[in-house]
Amino acid sequence: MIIRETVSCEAMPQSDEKYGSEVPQDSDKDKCVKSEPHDLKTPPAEKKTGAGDDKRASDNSAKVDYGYDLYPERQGGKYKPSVWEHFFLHEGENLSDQITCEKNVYNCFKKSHGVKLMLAALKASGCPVDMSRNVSCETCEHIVTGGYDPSTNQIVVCQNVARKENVVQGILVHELIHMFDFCTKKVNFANLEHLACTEIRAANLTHCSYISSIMQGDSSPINIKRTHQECVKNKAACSLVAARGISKREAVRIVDLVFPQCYGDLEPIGRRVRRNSDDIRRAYLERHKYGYV
Amino acid sequence: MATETDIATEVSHFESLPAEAWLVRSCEQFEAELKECRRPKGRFHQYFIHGELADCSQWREDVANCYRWRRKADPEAMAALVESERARRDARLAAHRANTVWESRPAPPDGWNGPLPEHLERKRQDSFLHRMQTEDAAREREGSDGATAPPQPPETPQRAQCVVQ
Repeated sequence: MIIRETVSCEAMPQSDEKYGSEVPQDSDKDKCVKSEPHDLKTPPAEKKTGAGDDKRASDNSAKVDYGYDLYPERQGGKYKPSVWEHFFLHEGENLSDQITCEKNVYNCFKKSHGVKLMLAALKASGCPVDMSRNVSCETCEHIVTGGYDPSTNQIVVCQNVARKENVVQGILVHELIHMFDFCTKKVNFANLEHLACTEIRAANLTHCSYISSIMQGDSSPINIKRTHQECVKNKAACSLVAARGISKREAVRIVDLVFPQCYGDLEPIGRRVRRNSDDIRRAYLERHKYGYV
Repeated sequence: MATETDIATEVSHFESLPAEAWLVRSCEQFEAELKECRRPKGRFHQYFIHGELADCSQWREDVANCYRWRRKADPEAMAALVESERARRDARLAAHRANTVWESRPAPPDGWNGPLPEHLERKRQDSFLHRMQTEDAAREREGSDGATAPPQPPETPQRAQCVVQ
């Protein structure tokens, strides 16, 4: 199975609709979808109309792809762009995109304090990260920007979506948190509570700045107090919906179940970093106190 | 170079350091943490996350103690700093240990970096990352005097004894 990354969360359509309130069953899944995914070129067995439609939920027991369909290169396939995508979105320039992506990954490994902190924590935990072995730049469907594949122990960076170094940095830190959880804890990614917990931790530590919380619909200029939690809950629930095809209500229930414990667990970064601040550098400088050297 | 005000940097004072003095960060880092705690953007961040403003008094006390140690080698100041850093570390680890959703592993997963499927291994061998990694390793093996050291065998991954579990 593959842990999908950074599926964009659509803002909640009704401004007065609070997180966790009763929502109609047939409308709650699609709130987590940024756009309709493309018709898949591979594998041909599945045709999507929405990332969280009922077909996925009902077929979940029979279908074991666990998300590989959005990452065609994982199982030896190749993403084939349409004519439109080729000429207007410059899709299909795989080699050029791959080299740009790998250069960004290399620069992050060498310069980014967040990535270096995670690498040190993983190495100290007995799980060294090999840049070429554990990171793969691939072409993916546009609704994902990256992922973590525990079966091959690789982080997938979507070279056709993540084209800038700061975006690649965010993906790497997020996926390295999943990797850290897998390395140090008995995480079973088929267990929804475990999946929810690792997604809560990743969203808590790497996403949900005030601006992204506004864009997600969880905060506003007049609603600021403690809305970071709502952003993290919403993001984690959306990740569960996209990864497992369960209903939003079920995802919310599972996230609420594990939230108090997982929200407070900040290892190995140790703080909720403020965007555009020096926090991550200071977190990196104090890593030796926790054995991450 | 030690100045008149930096008594604690003299070697003679190293022997009076407590065992956990390595936990204490530099005075400049304490100042940076205090500044972040008190600045408007930091306050906004605290309100956004916790719904209230943080208490910055411990950072202020730590800055004062740090400079008292640096300039006068005051052992009480160092003891207070060690206690403060230990409390901060314990609070962070307590939150981590309170997460009982999953159990800790006694050792890393088996086959952490085992062989890749053939198509992924082929992609890896042709990648820019693999090439840069090989060049970096070659550069590290060559010493500053230009002599080529023999290649080292790959290290068996070990979990550090003091790492958080």
